[in-house]
Amino acid sequence: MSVFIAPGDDFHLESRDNVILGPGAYCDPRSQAFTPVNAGFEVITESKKGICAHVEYNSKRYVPAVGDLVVGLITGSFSDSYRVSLASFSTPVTLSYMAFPNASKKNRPTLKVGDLVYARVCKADKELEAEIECVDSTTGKDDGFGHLEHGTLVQASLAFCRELTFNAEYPLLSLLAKHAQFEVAIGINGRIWIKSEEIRHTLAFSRSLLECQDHPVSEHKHIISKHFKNVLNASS
Amino acid sequence: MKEAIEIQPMTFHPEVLARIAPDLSMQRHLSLGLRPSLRALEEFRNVEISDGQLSCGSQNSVNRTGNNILGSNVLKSGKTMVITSITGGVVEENMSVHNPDEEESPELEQAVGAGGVEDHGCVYPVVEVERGRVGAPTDEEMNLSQRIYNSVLHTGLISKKALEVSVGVRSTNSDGQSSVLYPDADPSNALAQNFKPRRKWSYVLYAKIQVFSRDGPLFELCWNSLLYALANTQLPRAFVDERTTDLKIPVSMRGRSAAIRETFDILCDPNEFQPLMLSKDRLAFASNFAVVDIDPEAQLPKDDDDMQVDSPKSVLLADIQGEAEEASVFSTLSAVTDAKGNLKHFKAVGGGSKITMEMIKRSIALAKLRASDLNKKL
Amino acid sequence: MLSAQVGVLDQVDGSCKLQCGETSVICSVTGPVEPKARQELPSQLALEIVVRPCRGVPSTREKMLEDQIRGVVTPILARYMYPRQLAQICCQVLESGEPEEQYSGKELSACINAVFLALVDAGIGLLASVSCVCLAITGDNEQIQINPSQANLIKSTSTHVLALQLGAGAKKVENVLLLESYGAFDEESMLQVLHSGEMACMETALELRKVIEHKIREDFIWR
Repeated sequence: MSVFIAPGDDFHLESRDNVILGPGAYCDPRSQAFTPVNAGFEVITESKKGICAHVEYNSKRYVPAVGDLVVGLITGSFSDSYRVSLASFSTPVTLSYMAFPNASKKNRPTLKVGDLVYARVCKADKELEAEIECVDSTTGKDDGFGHLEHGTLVQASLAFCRELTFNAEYPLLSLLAKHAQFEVAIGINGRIWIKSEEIRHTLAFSRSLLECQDHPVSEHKHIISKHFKNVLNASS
Repeated sequence: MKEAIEIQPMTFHPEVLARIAPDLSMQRHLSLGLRPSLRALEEFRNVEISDGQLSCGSQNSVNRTGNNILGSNVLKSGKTMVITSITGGVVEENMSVHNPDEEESPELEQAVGAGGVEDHGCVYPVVEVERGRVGAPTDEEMNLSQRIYNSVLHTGLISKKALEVSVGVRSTNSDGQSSVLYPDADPSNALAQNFKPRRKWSYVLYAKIQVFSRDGPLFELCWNSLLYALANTQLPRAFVDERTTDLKIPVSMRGRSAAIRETFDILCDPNEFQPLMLSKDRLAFASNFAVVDIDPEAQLPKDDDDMQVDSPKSVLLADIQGEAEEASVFSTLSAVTDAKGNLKHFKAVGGGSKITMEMIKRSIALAKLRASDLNKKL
Repeated sequence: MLSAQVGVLDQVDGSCKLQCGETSVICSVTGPVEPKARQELPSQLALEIVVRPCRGVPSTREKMLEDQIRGVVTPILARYMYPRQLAQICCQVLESGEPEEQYSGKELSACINAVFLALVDAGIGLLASVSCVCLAITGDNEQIQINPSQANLIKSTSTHVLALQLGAGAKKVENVLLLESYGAFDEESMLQVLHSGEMACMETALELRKVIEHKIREDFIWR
């Protein structure tokens, strides 16, 4: 797992056949050579379809990719779509009015500028503006997407958000759940929305999340209880 | 499904193709053994130079009166024209306040004599690329000016000594006729010898370099033009009036003891000129080159009889000109050298094709030849 | 000689503070972000490079530094991965370490190394690694000083800045990205400079790699 790789190095691949390139890997259109374009850990996994190569790296700026679950901020609304920001100063993406459950010409969604939405990236061609949707297009159900009411937003690093989303065994969320009930929406774009019954719990959650991304797993338990102790003491 | 598809070839004028697909234009020309500018690969453009008779010091100047141009050059290369005019001024040097009478200490002199950058004078160039509109200087103009400034400074073409003003004295005799005496003109003259100003002046030179019909990289053209202009620069002699030489005005410094300061009105002689002394051994001329990879796919099909010729992977082009060439080269070399191979400035930018050691050596060899050629025109 | 920290600035995507001898710079990278209409390039990443001097306002000297940095950075960026986007690179010189009116080589080499680290930190795609050194030739016996001190720089007869594109774990030189020489020198001494510069660039590249590797380990500390 922990093979360090930097731009311009060579992937440790035995053959070029059946190789699927993931994030951080680039195939030069002229020479057809595979090079890593980011510095990080080289990940090569073999599956039935072929060998997947990608670079696991951390960054702060999100670039949309199809299928990503994201937390977006509505920054504008037009006659048939919303404009949504996934990262500050990045090119905004569009969220069509038809990309909601039970959408029709008459049935318009009621989101306002400044609202948060949980959505999925459905189109991400780099030459075009990306599009997101708040509906599972295969079933037509809302599938947990849509407006995120109340709660708060935490900015975390992209790699940390990926880990929280994809690694079901990562203990942080269950550690947090021991202290209080909460709702969470993790966006691959580095935004975590979190909501609980009491504001002081929400505060403790957001502080814990921020601090945990700079410390190893073994310290997480301690960090979380510290923050909860702080907010509970302050109130009593 | 097996129907023949007819493909209509599109044709463009060379200039149009050069703009929309400079890369293709370049590769197709190269496969013919030519360049888009229709020159051979290592062929330079001819350079025509003249002084343009602009400077007021030149023998056959067109306008003598009201002219403050000290040196000039008009350089034509292809359709590009570069006009350089040198103007100047006189400034007072900063000198030690404490003991102005004392000669410079020997140590200081030695340090100065070592030939470091401290000892090099400079010109302040302003490059203007004329595009038929006015406005703030473009990045290209600023970069060119700064690069020329750096090169002149580090080349040591003009020593600080060459810019020192040897001040003359104007004296008016009883008939009301005034004459100017210079310290080096007549050694027997006591007045000019005795008068030793407590201050020093030096010339400051400005170069205005105007480029018309830009057609390719400009640094080399501007540099060569500046060099020719500096070579024919005539500095006017300067003098102070006799009456003011011993004028002393009390000035109170910070409310303390009144220090005595002289004020001189330094004037430039409209008729007497002295050539600017360039360090002849440091004259060097600039040439530019580009490295282009040959793309085997873009080559024209060859006849059978020259199939066996092993074509190189990349080629060196000399003296980049035109849109097709400039837009399709990303690796450039630029050398400022004299005929003997004493380099003064070298810049290589490898933005695309690989710059090999052989390319660097070859470009220096060509630059030397070019320099000996250009030196003859001086 | 060289020390650097990455990720020193919170509000930008990538940042780096680099000290090389007497020279130190801080560099920030933001991108890929939405460009202004006039900066946008239809098929590739646009670059905006700003260099701020350690004192005073920017002049043509800084403009030239910007141009040189652009010349080095453009070929190593995977520009076609980000069409119609913009990356802003900003370098603030903290300590110049050289007489600014006459020299800019030390600042340039520090800036190029810092920009590379900041770009890596920002996660913008790069096709190769780069490293840069400043060299000076001093004395009659033509001694080559690598990253010269200010005193040696002033004594020198010629100064050179060399930036190389490196691949395969910073062990293979792929191209000369920039070689800029001023002063009096001849062909032989320039080839010498290229030779010792190549060694020095490799060493610098390994240092930079260590910095990056350390950064990656820090990034994934929560694993």
